[in-house]
Amino acid sequence: MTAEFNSIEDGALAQWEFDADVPVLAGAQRQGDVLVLPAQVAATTVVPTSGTAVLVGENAGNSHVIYAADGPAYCDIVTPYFENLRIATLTVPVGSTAYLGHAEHGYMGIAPGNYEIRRQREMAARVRMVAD
Amino acid sequence: MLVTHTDEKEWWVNLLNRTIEGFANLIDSLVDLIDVDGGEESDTFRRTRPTQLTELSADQRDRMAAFVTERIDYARRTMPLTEHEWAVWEAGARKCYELVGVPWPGEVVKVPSPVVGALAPPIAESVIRQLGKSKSGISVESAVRSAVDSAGRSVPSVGDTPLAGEALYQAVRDVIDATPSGVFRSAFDGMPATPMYEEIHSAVSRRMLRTCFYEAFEPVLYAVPDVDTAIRTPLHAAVCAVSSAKKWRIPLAGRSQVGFDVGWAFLRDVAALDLDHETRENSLVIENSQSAGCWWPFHEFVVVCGLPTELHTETVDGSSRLHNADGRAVRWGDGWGIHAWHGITVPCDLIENGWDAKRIMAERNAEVRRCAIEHIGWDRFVTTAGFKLIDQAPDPANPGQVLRLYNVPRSVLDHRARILLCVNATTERSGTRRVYALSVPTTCRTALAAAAWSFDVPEQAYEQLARAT
Repeated sequence: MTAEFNSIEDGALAQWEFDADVPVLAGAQRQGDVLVLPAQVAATTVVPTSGTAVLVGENAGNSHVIYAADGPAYCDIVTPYFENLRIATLTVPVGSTAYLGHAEHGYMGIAPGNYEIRRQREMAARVRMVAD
Repeated sequence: MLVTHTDEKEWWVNLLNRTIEGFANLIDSLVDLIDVDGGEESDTFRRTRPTQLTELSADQRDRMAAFVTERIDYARRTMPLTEHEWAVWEAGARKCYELVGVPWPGEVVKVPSPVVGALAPPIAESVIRQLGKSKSGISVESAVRSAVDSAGRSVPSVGDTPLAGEALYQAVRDVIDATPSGVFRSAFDGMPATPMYEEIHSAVSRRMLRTCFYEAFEPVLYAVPDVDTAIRTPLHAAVCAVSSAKKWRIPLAGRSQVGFDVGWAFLRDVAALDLDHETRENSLVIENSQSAGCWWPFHEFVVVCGLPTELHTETVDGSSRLHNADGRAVRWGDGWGIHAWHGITVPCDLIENGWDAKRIMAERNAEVRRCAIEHIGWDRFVTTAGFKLIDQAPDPANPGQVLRLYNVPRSVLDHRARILLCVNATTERSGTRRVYALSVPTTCRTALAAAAWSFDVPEQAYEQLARAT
């Protein structure tokens, strides 16, 4: 997953450095069809330097990827279904910062804390996930 | 489409029977999988053989991934079969005839696309009947030509594809040439039953079977779009348009149909299952009969379709489905094909030309109607079709942008829904912002409630969004 992300979007991401323009926030933040929401959770999987793709875009589209900066971050991937939209849990320890990156939407800084990452849904004849 | 009441009923009863049969089989295998948990063996109705396969060696386990990839490529192949591969198919088909006790007809009518295969026998039948009746000897050639021309008018997908019309002409001629008696009958309408499956079942443990199901069969199943099911409705409609629905015969599976045979193939080829020579050969040969496209066995001849030349899919939530926004999702050698929008088979002109609001509303199939709306975009459709705006609110953390909630008249969708129009928080490179629409339940009374519902969070929580991009 991450390999795919790197090969497709390395170039696009280069223009976005983790710079001071990206606010690091502890509240709820939305990146396109993905929502980062403070929650009572604890993730245990270490985010590698190549990042953890929490949502892989359709048809070589853009992925939403979590990166760790300043220290380690933990992110567990969860399979969502229509009643539970959680696609990942994220734990950012004190001293670390996590970034959610996307080639079109840029970066979103996430302050230390526990979060869940949700995907957007819509109403079809049966409820389905939004295909970005 | 001319479908008389009784024909339709018969078709449905037929379908229902098949469905019930399918469910019975499915339940049987599920019960097999579920009732003994934790890998214990029950010997009540299974004879245990000393060499029963209970686990895979490390080497066999390593080959699992390669096997899965290979089977996916096999089922999704879009290169024509070679001479040798055709011979392999023929040997398999021959074996099926042998197993049901019907002599091999020897005459193989190869067709480039499924529609030609489905239409050729009923058209040939009507031409033969017409030639028998007419006193002033019309030539076979002109009778076939006029029948094919009229089929082209009744079935636009054939009429608009000159090569398919030409292939149909040739196939009808071949069928007529293969039936000097002027009468032909279907040889069998399902794969022949053999003791093979019981044989294989008795040679593997249930835990092994489960491994095989989840690790060999399912990954292949989800990676291969179900082309055979997607073409069934267009083929049925085509046959009904040129003759009585009674002439409709469901084709036997080709290689794009993924069955549990994949699991058997894994056990046979990779796991080196201990099978007697005959069982091994039979299972291989029967599998080979499904190595070309779909096929129709008759007593007098056998019609078989080649492989598609193009296959367009997308992967959503781990499973592959047909989709092409710009042309045919599946295309065969003669240019005939089907169009699909995110997995739903849709009429050709929906994709090729796009439908206006009036044409969309005239479509009777709600699923197709929804696809047509998605094709032009809900945002455009909502404004051109004049939906009623229920509520609007500032988009949280998206300054200057507004969320708009529209009511969708009941006649548009087959379920009650509202449409929320949202504007992206990030501008495109061109400087514009993408507008996208979400359908939400009618319980969402405000635009904000609708946006909150889409993420399943309380309205207040969504309103306090810190940042949106």
